[in-house]
Amino acid sequence: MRVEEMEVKICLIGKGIVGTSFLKLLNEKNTKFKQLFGFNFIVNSIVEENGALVRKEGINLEEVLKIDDNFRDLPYWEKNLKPDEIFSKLDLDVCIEATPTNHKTGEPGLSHIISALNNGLDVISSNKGPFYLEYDKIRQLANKKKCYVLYEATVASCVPALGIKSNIEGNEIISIKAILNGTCNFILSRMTAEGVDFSLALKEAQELGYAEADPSLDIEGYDAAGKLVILANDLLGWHKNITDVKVEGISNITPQAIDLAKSDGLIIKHLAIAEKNELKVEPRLINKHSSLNIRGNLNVIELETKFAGPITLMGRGAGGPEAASAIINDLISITKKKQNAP
Amino acid sequence: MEIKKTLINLEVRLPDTPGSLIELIKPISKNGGNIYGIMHFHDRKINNMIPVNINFELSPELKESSLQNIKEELKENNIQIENITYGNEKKVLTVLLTGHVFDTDVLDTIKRLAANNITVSELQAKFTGLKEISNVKFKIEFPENLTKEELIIELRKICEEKNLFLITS
Repeated sequence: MRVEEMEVKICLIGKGIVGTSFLKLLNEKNTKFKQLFGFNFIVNSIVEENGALVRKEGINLEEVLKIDDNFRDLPYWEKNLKPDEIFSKLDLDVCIEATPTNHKTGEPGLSHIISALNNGLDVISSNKGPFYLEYDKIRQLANKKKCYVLYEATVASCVPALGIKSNIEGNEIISIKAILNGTCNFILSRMTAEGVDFSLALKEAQELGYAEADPSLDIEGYDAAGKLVILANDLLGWHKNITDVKVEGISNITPQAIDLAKSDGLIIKHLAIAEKNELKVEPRLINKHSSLNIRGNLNVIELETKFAGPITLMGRGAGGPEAASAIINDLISITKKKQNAP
Repeated sequence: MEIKKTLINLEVRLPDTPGSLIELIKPISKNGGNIYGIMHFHDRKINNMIPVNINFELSPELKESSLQNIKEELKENNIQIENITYGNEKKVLTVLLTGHVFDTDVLDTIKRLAANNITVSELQAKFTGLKEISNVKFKIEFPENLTKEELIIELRKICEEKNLFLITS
């Protein structure tokens, strides 16, 4: 039986590393998605600072990718066009929000998400700020507007940390222990393996591009705390925000403390923990044989379940292609749900 | 890490011959026992057999199987078991403290924990310089009726007061 083609019109907000990776991946795989599922994903608008690319019939992704940073030179670049105008003006199904996070306000992503939902669009986001600050507000609005909101890329990027819930519906998740910040894990791994001090390991992380020039959000635990809030709300059904997390960073950890731990077969890791209605991000001692003892800039999530003990997920928690694959997954997931809807 | 331990007191009669003490110790250590102390009672020797008390701890999950193995191996070595008694189960937690742990009176820290029936059973330290901060590992034993969370609350109180950085398991 031939599958009937389903058109999905997309507005992408943010053409940074994640947004561009999404366009590349979609361009590469769109034909396959048509063959496999009968989905025709059409990006008809790409919003950036000071304007947007708009083509009702669909943007030629190859052209945009080829011209790279000079996309504002394309004839269909409309200066000063805002997302709100696009949502009301264009025929759209999904808004993909991929702007950088302002950790205090969640903006501009939060306003984009609210506006998209108010316009009846489904939303996919790689932007975690809006979700660890205003999780309940976004979910309630999505329910009210009968829209889908998916944000797999916000936590551990391509690792299906949120999506796993639908695959273990018969079970019950009791608690979560995770390493959610690759920068911290890289620094602690270097300190453990080489005995170097914190500042040297941080410098190395910055040189390799794992840490930002201002790494404070990573090393003080705020980034992991935000991801933990999303995990706990989604998987445990809690209603927390980032102010509910007790956060302690890794800058006080010394090579000598790591040595003392080692002599007992223990390792220091920066863990994000959701248990007994409490959220914590702090350095913890774990057994060196624990499944949480991962090295380098990886992420790991251990879900303690009621009927099957621990389930562990591990993988790369950052990077453009990784986040893009999570976004595409959300896109397919939403489209399948709509395809099957009565 | 939080580990549970059971203290065991074994009363045996050993032949007063060279090497028999080794025959007593070997099966205990081979089966995961951590020996705390041995008492000989030479003044109570009867028929060349000396009463000996040996104290050791076993983790609860090993208690049944290890104790059975120990009993069988002692019997094979011609060592008579007179009595076995069990102490209270205790829990052990390893923690790390970084800061001026000694300058802020480490004895006071240990005594304040002891007042809550919490015992620092092992202390290991690393220094980088006399005036620099120190890094200290405590192995802490705490009673069955105290939870790990309650223990950590006690520790945190002291560490906050003394400006020490605490890492727990």
